[in-house]
Order: sequence, then structure tokens, then C-alpha cells
Amino acid sequence: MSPNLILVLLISPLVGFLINGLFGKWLKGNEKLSGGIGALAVLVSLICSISAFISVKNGNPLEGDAGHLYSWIVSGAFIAGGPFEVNIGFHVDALTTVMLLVITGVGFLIHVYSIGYMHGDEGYTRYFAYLNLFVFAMLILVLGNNYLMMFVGWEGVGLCSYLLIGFWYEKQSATDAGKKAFIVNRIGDFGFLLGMFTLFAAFGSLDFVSIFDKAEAGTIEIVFGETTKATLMVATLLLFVGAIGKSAQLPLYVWLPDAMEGPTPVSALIHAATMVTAGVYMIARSAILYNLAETGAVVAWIGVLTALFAAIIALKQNDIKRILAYSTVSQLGYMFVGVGVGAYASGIFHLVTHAFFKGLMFLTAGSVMHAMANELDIRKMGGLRNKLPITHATFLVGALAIAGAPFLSGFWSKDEILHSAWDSFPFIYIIGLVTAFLTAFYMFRLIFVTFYGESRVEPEVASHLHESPAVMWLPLAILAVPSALIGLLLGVGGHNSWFHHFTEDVFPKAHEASGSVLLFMAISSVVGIAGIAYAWKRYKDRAPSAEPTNTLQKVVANKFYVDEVYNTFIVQPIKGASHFLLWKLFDSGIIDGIVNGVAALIRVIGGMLRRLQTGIVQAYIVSMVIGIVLFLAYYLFFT
Amino acid sequence: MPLEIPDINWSLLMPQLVIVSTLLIVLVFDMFDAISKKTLGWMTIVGAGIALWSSIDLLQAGTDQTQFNEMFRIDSYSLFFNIIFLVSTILVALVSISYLGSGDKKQGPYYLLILLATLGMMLMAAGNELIIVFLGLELMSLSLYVLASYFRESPASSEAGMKYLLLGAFASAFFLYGIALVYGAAGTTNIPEIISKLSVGDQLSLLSESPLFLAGIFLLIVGFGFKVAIVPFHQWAPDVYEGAPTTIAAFISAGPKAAGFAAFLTIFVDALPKLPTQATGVIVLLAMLTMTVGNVIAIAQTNIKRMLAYSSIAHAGYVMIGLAAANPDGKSSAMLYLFIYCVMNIGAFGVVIMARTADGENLMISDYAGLGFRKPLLAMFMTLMLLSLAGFPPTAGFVGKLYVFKSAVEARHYWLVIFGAINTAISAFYYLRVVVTMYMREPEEELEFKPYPPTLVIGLVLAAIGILLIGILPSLLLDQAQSAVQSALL
Amino acid sequence: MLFNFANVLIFLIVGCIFVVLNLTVSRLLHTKLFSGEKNIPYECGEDPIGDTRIKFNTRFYVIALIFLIFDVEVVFLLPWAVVFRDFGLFAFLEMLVFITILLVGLAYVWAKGDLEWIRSTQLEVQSIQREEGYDN
Repeated sequence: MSPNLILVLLISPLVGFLINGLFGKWLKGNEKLSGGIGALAVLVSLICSISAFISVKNGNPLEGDAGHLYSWIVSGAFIAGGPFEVNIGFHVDALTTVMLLVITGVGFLIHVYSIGYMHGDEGYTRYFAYLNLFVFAMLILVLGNNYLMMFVGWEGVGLCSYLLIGFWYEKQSATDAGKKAFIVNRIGDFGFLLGMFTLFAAFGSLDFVSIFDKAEAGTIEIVFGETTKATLMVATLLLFVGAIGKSAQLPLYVWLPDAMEGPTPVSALIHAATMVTAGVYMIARSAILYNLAETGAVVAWIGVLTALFAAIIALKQNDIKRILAYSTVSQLGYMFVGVGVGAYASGIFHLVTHAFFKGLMFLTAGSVMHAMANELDIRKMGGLRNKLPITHATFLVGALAIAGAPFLSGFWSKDEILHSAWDSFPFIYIIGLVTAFLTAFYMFRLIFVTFYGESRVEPEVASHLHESPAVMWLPLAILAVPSALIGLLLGVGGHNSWFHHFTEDVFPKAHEASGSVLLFMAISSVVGIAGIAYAWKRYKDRAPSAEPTNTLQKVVANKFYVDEVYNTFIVQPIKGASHFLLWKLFDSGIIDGIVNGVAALIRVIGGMLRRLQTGIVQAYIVSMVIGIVLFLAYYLFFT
Repeated sequence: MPLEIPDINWSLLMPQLVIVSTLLIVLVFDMFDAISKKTLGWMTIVGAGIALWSSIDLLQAGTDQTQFNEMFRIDSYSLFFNIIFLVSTILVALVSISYLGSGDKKQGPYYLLILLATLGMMLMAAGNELIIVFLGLELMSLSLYVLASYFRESPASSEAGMKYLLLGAFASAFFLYGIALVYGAAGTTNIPEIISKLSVGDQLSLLSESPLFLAGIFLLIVGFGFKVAIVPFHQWAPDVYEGAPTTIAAFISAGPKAAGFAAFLTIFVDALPKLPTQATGVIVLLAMLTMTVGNVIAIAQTNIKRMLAYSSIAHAGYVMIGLAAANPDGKSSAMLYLFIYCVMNIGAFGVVIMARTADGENLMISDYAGLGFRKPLLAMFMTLMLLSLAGFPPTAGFVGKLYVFKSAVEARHYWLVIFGAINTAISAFYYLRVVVTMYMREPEEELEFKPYPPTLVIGLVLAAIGILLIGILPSLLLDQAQSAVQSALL
Repeated sequence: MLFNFANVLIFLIVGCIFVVLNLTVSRLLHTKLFSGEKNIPYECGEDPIGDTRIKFNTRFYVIALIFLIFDVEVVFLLPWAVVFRDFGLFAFLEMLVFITILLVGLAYVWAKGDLEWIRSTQLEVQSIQREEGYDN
């Protein structure tokens, strides 16, 4: 595979961004062209991704020196730990191509869908510019052959996420949500940065290949603690902090539900299919380090607790997009369980299936909103299956997949993760199983309340109910196919499945999970079906009650008051402290005093020196001569 | 004694010959009133383009030879500088075409003088001999004196030319006197010979301590210091930049400064390690003083051309850091810095021209208020150029500063680097102030802007692409600069 | 050895005679008309006595410069003529290029009207009326 292919793959969305960004003024009148350019840019990337995938499948990855393009900056040897090199290069192996296909494949469909969804919006070209920029940043994140490039992409997607959450910036809630996402992610990014520093100190490089080679050979500088393992533990845990922020895990998940303020396709692309899975990708990429540091247990526990916690919150939500958002948090938890217990391939496989079915469900939610004049409350829906047959059918496929209905994609990937967890962490397995039950329940609660039973749609809205145009339902239909079938194609056979074979070179060998595969499958199926059945029993013909009836329900409905707790115990104290202590006293008083003082001083000095510039040539010559004499004196006599 | 004609390999002199021919063609066509100045401008661009192409061609062929009895050096070092000069000339010509318009007979030989100055710069960079350097210096300077006073109906422009001439002549005298003293002490004006005479084997020779020689070297520093506008020999710069036509201000701030440094570096990077330490001390002090004074006074400016003038003084200080390092890295990073500096500075002046209204130029920084939304393209260019001047990644300015500082750290001039870093912070203040004014201030009055001339936009787009490309892919240029320095060492 | 300098002596004597002879012939032939201007050292209208800070016609410089260029040309032509035979065609072409460049310069000066003592005032007026030099 030549780096040029990857360059085309990478640059294409950037070109799309530049066209839509720079010439937006001229494209404004022509939505089809603007959206078409955006979608086309990603289509080119998709074609390149497929080509890259075929290369990798034929045993021709792009790794090491072959992927190295150039060094951006090479410092001298004066920095401890060797010369600091910022390399620009690609690392394309099985893991990368899987991510590429997800990003460009799902991304392309979502771009097409957006052409219809964003119709008539004021910021149409701006939307596509941001979306293309996002794809570009995400591609950098997965294509880079070192942590620094990954970090550039990491920050890039964060920026685009911020811009797109706050896309409708006239809405106060949207800008607040954007800021929240940005600030919460900063905490994670800080961890990521510290992790990178630790890695550089330990390995003298940030390139994947050289880090992993040195890690395996054991040539690691001890930075923390007594052993190399301690150093690696610090590094991997710091990196994991970054993953917690980006992938919305406990305790930093709070930004993701609020991020639903952005346009729905954005939620599908960024906050379900791609960006939020960056943390999982990062850990899978660093699999060798996590295995050596043995910090997987932390990852797995955080993952499973997040999965359970988010699933419980989702039980009591009534906003269609928030239910999906909590479900995303929960499913990301599963992925972390997968990569945490060492079943990296299973975790990534769940990432793939989740990208399809969750992307699909967000888009169908968008389709529902499109039909319902942007109504989000499922209590005001009901009986929609007759009016929106395609939306209903595709949503059903997605929900069945996530609920773990036998033979659909989610069933295979979730089962693999749980099965791998059983041996080393039986508790995690059990919590995971409970979560699976809850998942099936809240998803079908959503389905039954929205699409079945009596219609509770307001008459005014009901008259306009319509199925979405083809440009919107076609992507839904296309996405429904892999959501249903990808597990059968790639996932059958557990650790001997096609997917595991494809990625076996990338990940360290996971131990064979013990126990009968069929038994585990049977348990998962029963749990999933039970959840669906219980939802059917409770919600087949009634809406959720308006008010929670007991304390427990109230706590759950209010998302365990986490936002309030954060607000009271973290945000407000920090705000207060920063207002009085930092801002009024320290910043205004001391720092500003110093800065303004220095600035004022410099200005005064500048103003005085300016006077020397009289404009009179004779004065200039005099000052030149004085300068010459002084320097000559220094030069000749101060030896 | 039989006279011998030196063997001349004309193909090596292609860049210079092309410029001379272009110059003559422009001269001939300038005689006819019917021919528009714009045509002359395009001729200049084509000529400089061919010369640029042939320079790159020679550079890639790895040429390393001398001509005219070792007076003239055609190696990757001089060719790299040729590229800097020619790129500057092309950019300035592009910007000038719309600035001058078609002109009339009285407007005089604008492009002719630009080409002459370019030829002078090329001589300076190729000079292997103090006399050739002086010849180039004077050819360049005399052309610039005329160019500075080019708008002769404008008192400011005439004043600029007059001041430049008087002070320039003063400095040239110092320079020439320096050459005389160096010749008297060393017995030759050939630069490599002078440097080789400084040491005998590993030991320093008597020459390196001869007061006559040291005084000569000091006077050379003064002469160069004036040409590249380092403090305290800088005072002509703000007045000349402000009064001269904006295109010429861009030109003077770019190519000639690079040419001055080209000769400066040739002599001093190799000579400094062999001179007593206070010679390096003088360079270090001058660098510190230049950066600090340039940046501090720039803060107090309200006129954007003057601000850019002081900023260009400060930038000369950054280049001096590379010179003070006096190692191969310092030389190559200074070369890289000069290239980047030329492109971004011409770009910044180009934006100033772009912001013209029907009643003249808007030179007050406050005139830029609100342009961020009213004139997004203009504001975008300006922001990019200023960010690059301030040294923000991923622009070229960042890369340039990084490598210059790096070379000084390697040479253990830590204080110099600290000074450079502090000054970079100071400079960010006044560069970003313009950006803030553009995006966050409301204009006091609505200004009617002229439509953007296409050639100006082309020039700015080229400059912007260059800045981003070098910022993202610095090895493109850095490798050339480093190999140029390496080949000189072998 | 010393005898060789006899050539120089003869040259000097002939030179002196030539000058004296010409001046005498001129003195005998010319009409004697004296006026104020004719009695001052520079017969070109410049007053040699008085304040040095006077406005000076810059055209003197232009003429002097042009004169100087061709003066220098002659300086180059002399050694060239001495060795011309040895170098042949090459030297001829070189000098041709040199003189051509100077001639082009002269033509340029001529075309631009800088050889006229009094330039067409019409042009001056035009250029003063014009705004600073841009027309876009």
C-alpha cells in the first residue's frame, strides 16, 4: 500500500472542508451542491479505505518506516531522553482499516442523510464544512503512527464536536452544552497529555512502533516508582483518563447526554459511531502497554460500572435522544470491558457493530423528529409505526441488535465481550448480564412507547406526519443491513471468527475463554429476550407515567442527580473560588497587576524610546555614532 | 605578462544573466509610452521566474564552483539565497502590478530598479570577495534609494528616499573603511582566504588578534548592521518604511535584509569562532538589543506600517541569534528564517495594500476594526501573516523561530534564547492586538474599500500557501538549507 | 635608460607649444566683447560668490552623471584597445555588448527627455495633478 493512497484518503475531507468553508457564501444558494461536495469528499475517502482494507487483508499493511512521511520537527540531542522528533506518518494495519471503514462508511451515509435532514437550515454550508473537518480530524486520529498525531486528531475531533454541539448557537442550551463538552473533555485531554509526557520520558519517542518494540524488549526508562511496570501503569492510567473524557465514562460521562443539543446526524456520527469510540481505539492501539502494565482491570471495572449506571438512568428518560445517548455511554462501557479484560478484538468488534446500529438508531430518531416537528418527548408520540413504516422497521432492527436478539450484530459482539470477561472477572460478567437485560428493556420501552399503542401525537403535528424523503430513509435502509447481518458475517465462531483472524496480528494473543460458547450464547439470548418481553408487558399500550411515583424512580429519573452534585460540589465551588480568589484577588489583583504593569511599563518605555525617533537625520547619525563608540569600547577594551 | 581571460562557465551564471537580460528588455520597453507598466510588471515576473527556475535547477544539480578568479561563488548557499531574493521579487512584483496600475511616462523605471536591486542582492550572496559584496551592496542600495522616493510628488516618499540615501551613504563609508582595514591587516579581500589566515593549524594566528583587523571586522558589523537594520543602526527603517510606497516598504524589508544577512553570515559564521570572544559578545548584545528595542517600540505604534517596520527590526534580531550561534545549524536556521520572514512580511504588507479605500491607504491600526466580518478574506490573510510573524504553529514563523532558538541552545547561548522567547511573547501582544481589533472591535466609521485587485490576491494566496506549507512541511526548505551549509563545510 | 625619457620630454614640449599656439591664435582672432556673465568663472549662470545654501539646478548632476558614464567607458576602452589583437573576436563581442548596454541607457535617457535642458512643462503639470501613483 502506498502512502499516497492514504494521503488522498486523508486530504479529501479537508478539501471538502475548505470548499464549503471558504466558498460557503457562494454555495449558500445551492444546498445540493454544498451537501454533495461534503458527501463526495467522504465517498472518496470511503473508496480509498476499501482499497486500504483490501491491501491489509492481502498482508500488505503500512507500518514503520514505510508509513513515515517526514519529520515535522527534530530537536537537537540536548533534551534528556534523546532527540525529540515529531514525525508525520501513517500506521495502517487491520485495526486502522477497521476504524477507517467505520468512519468513512457510516460517515458517508450520515453525510447523505444530512443533505435531507439539514434542508433549509441557515448554516447549511457551515454544517458540512464542520462535518468534513470532523472526518478529517478523526482520520488523523486513527491514521497517525504516533501518539502526537493521535493527540492532534483527538483535539481536532474535540473542537469539531464543540462546534457541532453548539451548531445552533442562538440557542442558549446548545452553546452551554458545547461548552460543557469542551470543558469536561479538557480534563481528559490533560490526562492524555500527561500520559504522553510519561511515555516520552520512558521511551524517548512517541512513535507506536518504537514504543511497542521497546516495551516488549523491556528497555524502558523508569520515570515513576521503582519498576518499569510502575512507570507503565502511570502512563496507561493517564492515557485512560483521556479515554474516560473522550469516551464519556464514569465520572466524566456527563457531557454526552447534553451533547444531544447538536443536530441529530451529528449525534449519530460523532457522539455514537466515531469520536466517542476514540478512547476504545486508543486503548486497543496501546494493547501491548496495557497488557504489560496490567491496568486492564481498572479499565474493565470503570467500563462495566458505567454500562450499568447509564443503563439504569436510561430506564427513566423520556427524551428519545437522551435515551440513545445514555445507551451509547452504556455500550461504550461494554467496549471498555472488552479491551479491559484483554479481549481487544472483541472490544473493537463491538465498536464496529455499535457504530452501525447506534448510528442507525440516531438517524431513525432524527427521522422521527423530522416527522414530528422536532418533538423529542416520547410521551407525546405513540403508534407511529403506521405513519413511519420505514423508520419503524429500521429502528426495530437497530433495537433488536442492541438488545442482543439472537443472530443480530449486537448479539455476537456483546456475547464475545461477556464471555471473555467470565474467566477473570465473574462479577463483571454478572453486572454485564444485568446491564444487557436493562438495555433490552429500556430500548423496547422506547420502541413500544414511540411506535406502538395509542397515538398521543398532538393533532396539529399529526396532520403533518410523513415519512422522510428518500435521501434520508435510504441511508437508514442501508445501515440496517450491516446492523442486522455484520455479526453473522464476521462474528460467528467467537475467537475463531473472521474478525479475530483479521486482527490477530495487531493485538497480543488473548487467552482462550473457557466454557461452552453455546451456553453463553443461550444465556445472553434469554436475558435479551426477557428484557424485551418485560418491556412489552409494561409498555405495550401505555405511556410512562408523567411523574415518578417513588423515591428510587425519582432519583433515577433525575439521573442520580450527578449533574447537580457536580454543580454543587465542583462547578460552583470552583466558580466561587475562581471568582473571588483567583479572579478578583489573584488574577485581577496580582496577575493582571503584573501583566498590566509590565505592559504599561513596556508601553511607557516604548513611548519614550519612540521619542528618540525624531525624524531628524542628524540625530540618527549621532545615535548611530554613539552606538558605534559604545560597542567599539566594549569590543576593544573589555577583553 | 600575458593577460588571460578567466574561463567562464556561462551556464552557471544563468540566474544573474537572466535578470540582466530582463532588466535590459524592461529598459527598452519602458522607453515607449504605449506600453503599460503592467506589461513591464509581468515581464519582471516572467524574468524572475526563469531565473528562479534556473537557480533551483542549479541547486538540484549540486553546483559548487567559483567563477571569475574565485570572486564569485555559485554553490548551494548562494543559490538558496537567490531563491529567497527571486521569490521576494516575484511576490513584490505581483503586489505592485495593481498598486501602480498602468502608470505614465513620468512614473519612471520602477521595475527596472527592482530588478537592479535584485541583481545587487544576488551579487552579495554570491560574493566570495569583499569587493564583490560591496559592489552588490551599492548596486542594491542605490536602486533602493531611488525606489524609496519613488512617489516624488509625495513629500513623505521624498523624505524617505533622502534619509535613506544620507544614512545609507554614511553606513557604506563604514563598510568600505572596514574592508580597507581588513585588507590592510590580512592582505587579501578573498573571504575564505581571510578566514583561513585566522588560524594556523589548530592555533589562532596573530591576525586574529591584530587590532587593525579587529577594528575592520567591527566596521563591517556596523555596515551590515545598518543594511539589515539592527539596533542601534536601525533608525532609518521606520521612517523609510512609512514614507516609501507600501510595495517598496515590503521589498526593502524582505530581499535586501536577506541579502545583508547572506553576506553577513558568509563572513561571520565561519570567522566568529576564530575571533576573540568579545566579537561574539558584540553580536549577542546586538541581537538582544535589536529584538528588545524592536518589539518594545512596536507596541507603542499606532500606524501599521511603522509597526511592521519595528517588527522587521525585531525579526533581524531573531536572525542574529542564528548568527551568534555561529555553528552550521545556526547558519541553516538563519537561512530558513530569512526565507520565511521574507514571505510573511511581504504578505503582511500586501494585506496593508489590500485594505485601501478610495481616499488612500488605511494605515492606522484602528482602521482595521471590524474587518473580520466585513472583509473576511482580508482579515484571514492578515491573521495568518500576523500569526506567522508572531510564531504560532502550524505556520512557518513557528518553525523558523524554533530552529533558530535550537541552534543557539546548541551553542550554549542560553540567555540569548531566553531573551528571544521573552521577546516572542512581547511581540505576540502587538500582532494579536491587530487580530483582536479586526475581529472584536466595531469600526468607528464605515469605510468604502476598493475591490481586491486580482494580482494582489494571487500574490497573497501564494504567500499564504507558502507559509502553511513550510509550517506543516518544514523539511522541504530546511533540508535544502542544511545541505547548503553542509556542502560548504566539506 | 635616461635617453628613453627623451620621448616624454619631446611630448611635453610639443604639448606646451600646442596650447600656447592655440591660445595666441585665438586671442589674435576673436572679437573682444565683455559682459558681466563672461567675467565670472562659470559661464553657466551659477554665481560663485555668496551663500553656499542655494538652490542648485539638479540637471547639472544628470548631465554630469551621463558624462561620467561615458568617461568611464573610455577608460575601459583604452586597455581593451591595447590587448584587442590578442583576444580577437571574443574581446570584440564583449565590448560590443558593453557599449550596447551603455547606448541603450543613453537612448533611455533621451527617450525620457532627460537630455532636454528645459523639460516640457506640460508633463510636469500632469504629474503634479495626478494623485499618488495608483489607479485601481
